[in-house]
Amino acid sequence: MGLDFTIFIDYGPRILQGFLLTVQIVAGAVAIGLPLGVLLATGRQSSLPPVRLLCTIVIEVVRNTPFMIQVFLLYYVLPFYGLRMPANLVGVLGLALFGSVYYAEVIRGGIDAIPRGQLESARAIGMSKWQAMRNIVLPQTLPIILPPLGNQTLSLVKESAILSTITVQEMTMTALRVQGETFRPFEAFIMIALLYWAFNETIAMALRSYERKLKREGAEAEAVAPGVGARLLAAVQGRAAR
Amino acid sequence: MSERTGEPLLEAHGLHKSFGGTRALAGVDLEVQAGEVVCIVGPSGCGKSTLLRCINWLQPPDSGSVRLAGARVSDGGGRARGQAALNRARTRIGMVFQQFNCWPHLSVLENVALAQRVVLKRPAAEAATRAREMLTRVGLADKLAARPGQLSGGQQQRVAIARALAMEPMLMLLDEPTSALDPELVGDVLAVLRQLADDGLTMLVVTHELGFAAHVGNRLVFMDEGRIVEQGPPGELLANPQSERLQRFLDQLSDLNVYATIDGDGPSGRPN
Repeated sequence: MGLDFTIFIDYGPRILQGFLLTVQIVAGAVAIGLPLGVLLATGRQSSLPPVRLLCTIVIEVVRNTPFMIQVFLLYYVLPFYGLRMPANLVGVLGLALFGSVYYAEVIRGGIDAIPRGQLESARAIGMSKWQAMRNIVLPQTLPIILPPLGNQTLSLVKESAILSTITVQEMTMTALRVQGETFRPFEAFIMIALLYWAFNETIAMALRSYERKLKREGAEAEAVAPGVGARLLAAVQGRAAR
Repeated sequence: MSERTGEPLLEAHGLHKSFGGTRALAGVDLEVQAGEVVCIVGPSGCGKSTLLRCINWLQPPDSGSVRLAGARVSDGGGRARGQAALNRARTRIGMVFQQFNCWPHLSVLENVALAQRVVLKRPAAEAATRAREMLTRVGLADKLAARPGQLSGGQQQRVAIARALAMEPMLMLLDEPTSALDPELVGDVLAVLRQLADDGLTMLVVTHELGFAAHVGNRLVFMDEGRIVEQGPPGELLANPQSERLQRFLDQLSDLNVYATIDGDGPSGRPN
C-alpha cells in the first residue's frame, strides 16, 4: 500500500487544526497543573492533618487510576451530580489534575533535597512558611526538578490523545475522522505521529537550553550544597519504586 | 547576678524539651539584660543548641515561656500564639547557625536585602543600602555580587551575621558560629562578634571558644544534661569552677592554655 500524498494536502489543514487544539489543551493543563502541583506538594507536608490527608488522597487516587477512567468520570459521571462541562474544558482540567499529581511528587522530591537549614534560616529571620518556600526553597529546587518536570510534560502531550474518547476535537480525534473518511489509516496516523514528535521535541529542546542556562547560573550554588542532585535522584527513585 | 536593674531583655522560664525519649532541656530559666553578652558552654548533647532554638521557637518547647522585651514570643503552653506574631518576634531575634545557611541561589547583597523587603516591607533601594552598610560592617564590601558558594566559610558566616543584623535585631542568637570553620578563619568571625559586642548588641552565644567567652562575654553559662549547672562572670567561673561537672568539663578540654592565660586580667569589661 503506497503513500497517497493527496491526503496530506487535502486533510493537512484539518489535522493542523487538531494539532492547535492539542497545543492549547496541553498549555492550559500545564498552566493549571504546575501551580496545583506546588499546592499539592506543600499541602502534603502541611502541619494541618486534614490538608495533609486530602492532598495525599488526591495524589494517590489520581496516580493509581487510568487517565481514561478519570476523564470518563469527569465527563460522563459528574453531569449526574449537576456538573456538566464542555468536553474541551474537561480535557484541560482533567489533564491538569492528572499532571499535577506527578508534578507534585517531583516537586516534593526537590523540596526534600534542599538542606533543612535553608528553610530554618528563612523562618528564623521572620519569613512565613509560604514566604520561605517562595523565596528560598522553591527557587533552589528549580534547577534540579526541571528535567523530571519536563519528562512529565512530555507525557502529558501524549496522554492528551486519550481526550479523543470524550469527543474533544484534538489531533488524535481528527486523525480518526480522516481515517474514517478516507480509509487511509497510514497517512492519517503518520501525520499526527510526526506532529506529536515535533511538538515534544520542541518542548524538550527548549527545556534543555533553559536547563543549561540554569546550570551556568547555579554552578556555584551546587558547590555549597553538594550532592543535592544525587539526593533528589534517590528521592525520586524511592517514590518510583513503590 | 547583673548589677543592672529593670526588666530583662530576654526572659526564658521553665523550658522543657524532649525528642522522643531523650530529654534535651529539663527546666531552663535564663534572663539576659540588654547589652549583655552571654556565652553558653557545655558538653555536646547538653541542650545548649536546643535552648537557642527554643528561644525563637524554631523548636517549640514542650513547656515554658519566652519573653522578649516583656512581650511573649509565644504562649506558655508550648504552642505559638499566632504564626504572624511569632514571625514578628523573630524579626527582632537574629540567628546565626553553625552551618551558616546562606542562601546559595542569591548574591551576597541579596542574601542580606531579601528579608528586609519580604518581611519588613522595606523599599528595595533602602534594603539594598542597608545591606551594603551591614556587609561593610562585617568587612565584605567587596563581595556584594559574589555568590555564597564562591566565599570561604568565614566569609559566608559573616554574610549570615550581616543578614541577621540588617533586620535590626534586639537580640542575636549564635549557635556555635565558628565550629564549622577552618582554624585560620575563626579569628575573622570572632573579631566581627567582638565588634558587635562593643557596639552594645545583646548576644547569646553557644561556643567552644573559651578565650572569646572570657574576653568578650559578660557572663558564662555552663549547661549539662539539659540544665544550667553554673553561671557567672567568665573569669571567675573558668578560674574557680564550683561544680564538679564544670571542673571535669574544663579538664577535658585539651587546650588548657586558652583560659589559663586569661586568669590574671579577667574578662574585659565593656561600657554599656
